[in-house]
Amino acid sequence: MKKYENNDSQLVNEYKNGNEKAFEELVNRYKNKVFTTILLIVKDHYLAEDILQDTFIKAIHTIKSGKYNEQGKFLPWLGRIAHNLAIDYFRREKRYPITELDESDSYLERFTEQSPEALHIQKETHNRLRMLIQMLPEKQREVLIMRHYADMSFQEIAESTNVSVNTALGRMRYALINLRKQMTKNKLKYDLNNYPE
Amino acid sequence: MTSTTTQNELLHYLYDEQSNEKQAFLESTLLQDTSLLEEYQDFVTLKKNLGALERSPDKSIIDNILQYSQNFVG
Repeated sequence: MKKYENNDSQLVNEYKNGNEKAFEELVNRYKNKVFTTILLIVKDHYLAEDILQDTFIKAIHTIKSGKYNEQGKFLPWLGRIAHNLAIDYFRREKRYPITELDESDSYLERFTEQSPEALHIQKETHNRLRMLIQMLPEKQREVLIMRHYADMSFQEIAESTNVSVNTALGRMRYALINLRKQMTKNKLKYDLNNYPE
Repeated sequence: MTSTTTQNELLHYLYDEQSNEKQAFLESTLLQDTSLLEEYQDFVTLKKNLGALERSPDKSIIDNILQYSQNFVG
């Protein structure tokens, strides 16, 4: 199979011209980031998969109908769609998620050659971090997800959430400070050496 | 005390949103401000851990999306 090394913009153009393999490359490149963006909002694996499908279907319609704006970057655009669909779901249903996130880190266990103790610490760290993200104030959590997983710039986040760039930056800063403080307070090791590059 | 502007620049730096000029300035600030450097190092670690939280959807979901795309005529 041909391996694509094109940038996103080239892939979108190829897809517009009917190359489905280009779209497959885009999907595989960003499915995890977009899925995680949604999952951290809705906290339900199956619902997140439904919204992921809706996100890509919206992208397919927009690109194939020639309405995709090439000025923006592909992932932040896709991330914004995903974020909006996840938020819309709660507005429509008027309810908030109660299902817990899947805590499994089994994929790490399969692909790393670390000692059981190091893996245990790593798993604990990730579980703790997942929980702490959910405990962040909503506005801070929103910016963190948009910046980190949806890859939106602080300028794009500010525009999307109707606040100034400084406010978006302030929320991100407090989110990171809160996470840092809580991770340190609980004396869980999150040393870089625990994680493979 | 580190100014808000510098703290904001630190976030732009962390997420690679800076011009080369501002990047060089922040790097020289980091060399002089140990508490800012410590904060930056912790943020880098956090960022790495946040990346490790990524999840994958089921393969069947991706197959559905690709199938939909193949059948959709714009």
